[in-house]
Amino acid sequence: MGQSTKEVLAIVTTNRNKVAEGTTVFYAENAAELERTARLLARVLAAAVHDLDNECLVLVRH
Amino acid sequence: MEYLFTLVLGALAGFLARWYMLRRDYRQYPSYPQGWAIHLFLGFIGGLIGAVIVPALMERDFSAVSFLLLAATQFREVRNMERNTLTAMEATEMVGRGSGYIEGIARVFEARNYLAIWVALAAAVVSQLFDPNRPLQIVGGFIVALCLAWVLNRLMQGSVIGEIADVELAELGFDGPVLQVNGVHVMNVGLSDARRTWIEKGLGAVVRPKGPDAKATLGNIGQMQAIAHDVISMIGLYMDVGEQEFVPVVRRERESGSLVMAIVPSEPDADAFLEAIRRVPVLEGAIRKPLSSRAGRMLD
Repeated sequence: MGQSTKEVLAIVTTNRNKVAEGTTVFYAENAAELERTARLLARVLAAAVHDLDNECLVLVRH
Repeated sequence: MEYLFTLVLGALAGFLARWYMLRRDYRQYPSYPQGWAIHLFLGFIGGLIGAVIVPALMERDFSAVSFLLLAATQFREVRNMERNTLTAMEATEMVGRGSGYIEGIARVFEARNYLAIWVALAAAVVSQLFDPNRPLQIVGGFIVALCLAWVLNRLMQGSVIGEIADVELAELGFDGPVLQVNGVHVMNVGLSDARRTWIEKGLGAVVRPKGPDAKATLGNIGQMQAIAHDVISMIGLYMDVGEQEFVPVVRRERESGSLVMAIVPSEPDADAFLEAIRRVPVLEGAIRKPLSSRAGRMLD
């Protein structure tokens, strides 16, 4: 809260049209893989997974 | 040597007053035994300074008095020491205290040394008044020291959240990925199993301020962080290192100025959770009194 420095570490998506270049993007085949990849990445990066509700999960360090 | 008895009595009174003001509760701060050793020694020095003022004044040695006052300013270092220690430990906390809480704690520790000086001074004055009647010096000195320490300690005690706000249980729910408490957006939880955990094990509460002053006080970010930190130190947290999705959150409801809190405790006991929130101290640095201003009263 307050003085945190937030940073987007990666984006996991099933829809290639939703993300632009310049970000770390992981593509997933389906919703199950999307969740699984995001969960594994979150553990590795100690990041929070947020759902943008457009087939994209974004990993943010808070 | 004629002042030795007064000096010892005063220093002892100051030391005991500092001891009386050290409290061990759920926060375990100052830590025991090393933290205690530091503060008891500082209390003893404070007591000695307070006690030595009396003989210095009676001998009309005013340069000694000014030197003693100079020595007293060294206690400002206590605040820095506490601030540095707590800030360094912040990274080791699952949920940090926040700078507002740290400043509050540091200030309390500095202030208590000054209280020890006051108590020592009072005991020394009484002792010197009754000189050379030793039993009367001891009894009088300690009665005055005890009363003063008790009164000062009472005056220094701040209020707790339960006194300025009503704390009630609130419904947790999801709007898509967004965790909500009482309809207030709290956090975006991306993973479906984490959302399930929140629904199964999570608890929510709403903290309703009892007036405009309380509302302004609760709006302080340091106070919100202090609530999160203190509640988990009382009831525990269901979270591992790096599991950001279960970090307890405190947010503000724009409309009413109420706070909402969402937490996954290690034991889902609603009564313990609400009691923990009520027991959180109100930070001295967070207190605002808009009602003391004309503009503030016009809004009320």
